[in-house]
Amino acid sequence: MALLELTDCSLTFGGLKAVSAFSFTLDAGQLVGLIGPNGAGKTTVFNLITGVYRPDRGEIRMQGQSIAGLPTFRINRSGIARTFQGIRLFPNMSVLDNVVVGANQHIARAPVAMLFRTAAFARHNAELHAQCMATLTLLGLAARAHEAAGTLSYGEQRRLEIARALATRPKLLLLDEPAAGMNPQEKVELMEQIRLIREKLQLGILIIEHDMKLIMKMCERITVLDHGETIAVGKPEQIQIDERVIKAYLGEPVAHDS
Amino acid sequence: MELLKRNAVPLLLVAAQWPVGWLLSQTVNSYYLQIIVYIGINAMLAVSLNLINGITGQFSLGHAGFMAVGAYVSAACSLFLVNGWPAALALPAILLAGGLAAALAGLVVGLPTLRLRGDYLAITTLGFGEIIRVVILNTAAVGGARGLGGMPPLSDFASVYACTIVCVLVIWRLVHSPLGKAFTAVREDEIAAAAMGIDTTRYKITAFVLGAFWAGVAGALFAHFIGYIHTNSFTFLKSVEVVVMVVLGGMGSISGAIIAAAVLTVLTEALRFLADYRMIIYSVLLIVMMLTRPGGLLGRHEITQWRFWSSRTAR
Amino acid sequence: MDQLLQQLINGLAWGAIYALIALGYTMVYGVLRLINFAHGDVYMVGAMMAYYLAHWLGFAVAPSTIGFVIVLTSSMLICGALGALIELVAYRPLRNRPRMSMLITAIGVSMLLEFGGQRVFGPDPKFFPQLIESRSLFKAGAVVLTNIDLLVICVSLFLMVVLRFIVLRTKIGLAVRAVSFSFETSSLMGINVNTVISVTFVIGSALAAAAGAMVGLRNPKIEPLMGVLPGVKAFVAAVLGGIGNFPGAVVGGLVMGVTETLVAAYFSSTYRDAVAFVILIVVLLVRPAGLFGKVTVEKV
Ligand SMILES: Nc1ncnc2c1ncn2[C@@H]1O[C@H](COP(=O)(O)OP(=O)(O)O)[C@@H](O)[C@H]1O
Ligand SMILES: [Mg+2]
Repeated sequence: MALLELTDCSLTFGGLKAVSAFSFTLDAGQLVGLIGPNGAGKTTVFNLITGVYRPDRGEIRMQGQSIAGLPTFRINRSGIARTFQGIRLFPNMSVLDNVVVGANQHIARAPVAMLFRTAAFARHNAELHAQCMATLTLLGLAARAHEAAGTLSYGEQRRLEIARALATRPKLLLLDEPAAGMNPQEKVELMEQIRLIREKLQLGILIIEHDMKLIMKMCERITVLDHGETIAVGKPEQIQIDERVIKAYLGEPVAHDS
Repeated sequence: MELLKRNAVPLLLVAAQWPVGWLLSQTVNSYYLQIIVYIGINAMLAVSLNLINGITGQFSLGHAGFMAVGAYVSAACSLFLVNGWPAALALPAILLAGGLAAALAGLVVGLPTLRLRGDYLAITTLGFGEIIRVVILNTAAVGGARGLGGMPPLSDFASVYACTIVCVLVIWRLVHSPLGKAFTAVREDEIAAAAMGIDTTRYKITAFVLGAFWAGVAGALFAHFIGYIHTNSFTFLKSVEVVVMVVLGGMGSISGAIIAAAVLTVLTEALRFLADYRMIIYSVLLIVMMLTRPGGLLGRHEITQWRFWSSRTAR
Repeated sequence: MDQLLQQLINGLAWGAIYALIALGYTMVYGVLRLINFAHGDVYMVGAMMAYYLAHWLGFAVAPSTIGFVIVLTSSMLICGALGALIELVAYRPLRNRPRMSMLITAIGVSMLLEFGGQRVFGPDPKFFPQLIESRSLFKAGAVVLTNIDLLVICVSLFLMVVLRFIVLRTKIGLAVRAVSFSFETSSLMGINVNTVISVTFVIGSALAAAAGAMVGLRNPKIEPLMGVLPGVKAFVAAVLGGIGNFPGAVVGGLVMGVTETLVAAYFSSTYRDAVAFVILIVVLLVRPAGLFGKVTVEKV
């Protein structure tokens, strides 16, 4: 059974067809790329999957369960976590606390223990603390744990978004332009970290990225969107030579290398 | 036993209020004692509103309304229900009654509103505060426009401050616990919080209902301290006063809210000769604060930057 | 039956007042996403200005329709300027801060107008001069339609038509709609967002002032806190119609006025003020986007 399956999903904003008849599957442990020119509808696909928007038409299944129309927090609890293209951290909270919030659903709900600060409560805290620090270490952020998230550099904030998403213990991770605004050195590190995460946690990853080198190197399969339509699906080497893809990108007046 | 040991400091602090209260009653004249008690009540109001407005980032303008519910329900309780009980039993009973009634009112107001955007809450709670007043004014059983008197003086310095300490402790421990960090996350970015699996509506309602509960307790303490209540004590202006305390103390700072409550209570008394200008001063204060120091006096920081949840205390 | 008709007339007159105030809420919410708490108090200032103008200009002793028109328009102009000033001083500096900040200053401004008003105008009720003598135009059984009721309804209708014209047919109206749609895109398109927001406040405040001046004719007792409840009710009317939606605000205002009057007449006048609250709760539960509003999604 596929991990994630979208069938025939459409969404319009006013007259604009942001996503039309989008069908897609991703199996457990796969790393798939979603690319396309700016405004193609990639982020909207993420918003549909995570319940930020509700599809006008179509079905979305996570491990066979329909999730279309569920509230965002339920979809996350079904095992889908994401990062945001326009970073949405909790800027006034510490880096560590951002990750703690990500772990929220896995913290024991024991109000009495919390109010009286029992020994068990302290033990759980210590465990949680260690887990969250481990997640931060995975993304090279352990040293910044006690700084406010808003004070991190751009690249660090993007990585913290990933750490926070991982803390929810997803089966599927959606990354929306995780390398945007990073320098080449940071991009290399990021690729290494994503590879490590995948190996360690065995999760499926769907990644939106404009850096073609990165995408072609990492992904097993790529889906290309343009104006909300799927114009190509295939292996990186097939996509590279696909005529419609080349046309879609060349047709774009501005270079999209950011 | 272990529980007692781990909570020895707060327990001693609460217990200490009785000897301190006795000492104060021997040394301080009753006017000053009254101001000191008002500081405690206002601190409770400010800290509980801070949970809603400052920490969770919602905007309630109805704290006086919840205080009124607590005051009237507890007063009705002590007059008609627990009349004749020993004070040691009657006091907890009326505090609980006032607090729970206010919490219930909070649930009724919060459920439809908190699913939606934060600013709708402002107008709903404002409306709620007005309705509560209309209802009380038209309910003869609780005195209507004459007000309600004759309650036994169940609360005093010690009970007010003991409750304030418990209130601060509960809210502090809640928002500084790993689960409670989600309150702040809701304020910081609701969509991101939801995407992390946080049931944001539930957190908002929890904050709102808990805040209302403590406002109700404050109302009950107030009613049984002065022994006579009237809707004029619970107008929109009282709500605004509490909002000013939270803003002045720094949205989200618990210690800031307490300090601001003390400062404003004392100032209000000291500037009694300016009574006619009090609300004008408050309004200008609100505007100027927002324009020049939007973080309040302490910003989001606590006076101690001590974190209960951190490697230091977790061990 | 007669009584019902009579109450409907009263309700419509009140509804027209609410509608005028609600339009201001909806306009400001449209461009700034702000509940302008001070709006109800601008309505109060409108009534007060009309009161003082009527006395200064001598129309209080020599009532005339012309006099009323002059008083009405001057009050609208003054409050229009007041609205622009409020925006400039209290809201503009906070535009890029969390929305909560603006909401707090809005409450501050509201209180300043209310309690400053008590200082400046005096806390006691004033009696609005009879600028136009009340006559019954139409009488059928017990139903009376006074010229004042008709005037309130007609002037409100006229102002709404003017507003509609401005919004749909003029350049500045187009700009207001564009800014409501998107701040950033509008400024990229060369629209001066600041000007548009100022204009929005001027128009909204002028409409509230008109409501204030007309309310003086029907209910002559005016005082500095008179704007609080109508302000809340008009806001609820705007939410009922779908906040941001102009025809919605008008319909919401009328529904509010009629419902409230009927409840007061047939049920209990003490709970008249509770109607708005109940309507608000029901709308938020059943149809949060309001009757005519569209569900908007935040762009993520
Ligand atoms: N909430 C919204 N309201 C209106 N239009 C939207 C909204 N979200 C996205 N769009 C539009 O949908 C199209 C696709 O956007 P998006 O999915 O963000 O593209 P991208 O592929 O660059 O991520 C764009 O034209 C965008 O303007
Ligand atoms: Mg995008």
